Amino acid sequence: MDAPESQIRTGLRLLAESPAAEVEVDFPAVVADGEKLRRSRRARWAAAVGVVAVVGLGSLTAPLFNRAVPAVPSPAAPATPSRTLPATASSSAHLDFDVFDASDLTFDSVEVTTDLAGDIVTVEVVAQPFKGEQVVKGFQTRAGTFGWAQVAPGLIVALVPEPVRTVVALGGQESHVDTGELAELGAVTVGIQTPDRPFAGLIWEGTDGVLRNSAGDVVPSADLTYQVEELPAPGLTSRSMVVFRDETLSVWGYIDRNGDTRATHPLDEEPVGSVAAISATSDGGYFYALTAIGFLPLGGSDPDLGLAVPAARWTAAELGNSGRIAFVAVADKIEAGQVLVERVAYTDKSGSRVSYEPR
Amino acid sequence: MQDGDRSRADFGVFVQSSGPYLSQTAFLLTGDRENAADLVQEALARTYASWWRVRRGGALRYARKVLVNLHIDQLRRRRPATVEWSELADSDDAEAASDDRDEVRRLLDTLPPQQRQVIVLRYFSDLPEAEVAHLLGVSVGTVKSTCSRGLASLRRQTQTMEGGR
Repeated sequence: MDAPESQIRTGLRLLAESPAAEVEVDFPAVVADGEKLRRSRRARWAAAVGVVAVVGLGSLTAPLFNRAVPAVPSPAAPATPSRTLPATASSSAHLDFDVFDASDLTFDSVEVTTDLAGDIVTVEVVAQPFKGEQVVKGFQTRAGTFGWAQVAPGLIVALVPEPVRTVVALGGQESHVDTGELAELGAVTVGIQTPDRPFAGLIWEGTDGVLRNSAGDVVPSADLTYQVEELPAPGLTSRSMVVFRDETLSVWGYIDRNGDTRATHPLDEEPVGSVAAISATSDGGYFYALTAIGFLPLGGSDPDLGLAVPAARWTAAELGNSGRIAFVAVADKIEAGQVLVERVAYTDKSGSRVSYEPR
Repeated sequence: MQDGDRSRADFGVFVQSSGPYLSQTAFLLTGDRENAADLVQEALARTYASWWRVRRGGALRYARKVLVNLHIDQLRRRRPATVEWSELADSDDAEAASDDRDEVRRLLDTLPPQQRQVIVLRYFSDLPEAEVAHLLGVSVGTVKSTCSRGLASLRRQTQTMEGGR
């Protein structure tokens, strides 16, 4: 008996319809795991600026950035929102790390417990590795300020002194991040696993929408909204993104509101603004959706972009009151390797009209 | 409805409509129900993690690619158990089994992993050769030759079995 292709088709369908092939999907677990993966997928960390060693309980950690802050135009919001804390408070949080990309992870979960007495917060960290014994470490930090410690090789625990919407990791390599609310303390703990890269700082978005960094600065930012050709979900007509530039930590970055992705990149060394791209591959066809983000030089105004794709769009806004304008260009369909922003024209601070071709 | 709720509802509709097909594909690729369940769970979780950028018309295609990639990764990490047809032909269980599904299952189990993948994607998913090539990360020529060898192997196994009856 021959086995023509139609018989193979029939046979495969018969087998696929058997009770053995019935697999029940655990939908809540799919959503929970997907959200966890999404939270930790995009965290990146830069090269080291300095490391603060973990000390035994009873000692106070030194501030991470004990140096003068460069002159950056002061925004209206205070560097750290003032909060009234109780005299004493205890709080704890459980941190989990991405279960799908566990090959470079040492720790499965971390318990963080804090005790506030006066203006000192004592932090106890119990880290559970995938293999081996628990690691128990402690450190202290001043209430209402950012504090952190490296509690084990590759594991950093930090305290952000306010509730947050988003935490943004710095730099150029994949890392793993989870956050936990410390409600009684009015704070958030952040756990970061990163292979052998010393801690370089943190940026976060508070619930007031203001971006701050671990050096105590407000980070100039702009909320940019743009139309999209295809909608990520029914009813949405546009996407929005927060773009920021941190001169203290020497990074620029973005938070994509619709996709909950975020990343940072080192500041370009070029005196003229830079253009970089984030991209998503679409499996609906062999093309890319591309978003390019760039900055005019300080004092530049009236940008005008020349884009390679006719259907592409761009928008621009000033980052806080910094005097620097950021622009975002979006193309829903672009060929792989094609440059989106071909030309940037603007008025420089002397009033001259100039243009350049981004590299 | 909040954006997040809308997104979850949207994804829920997708899982309801495409979940059975993905489960069947996973079962045909792996031959094992538990393994198939794990693959489908992980593929759907990864699809949900990228839901904001998955174009609605291409959601199934995206999820299927994730599923196939996960299966390929799994095969790379371990040596799949292969069953020699001659062993089955000599076993009491094989001779006793008359169910067509069992026969198809045994035939699939005789195929090397890549032939099995190509046969399932071409003849269960009814995908064109170019799409199968894209999913597996190989050339169209490789798909053609792998498919041809897979079909030839299935024909030989079927003829051997027929000859033994």
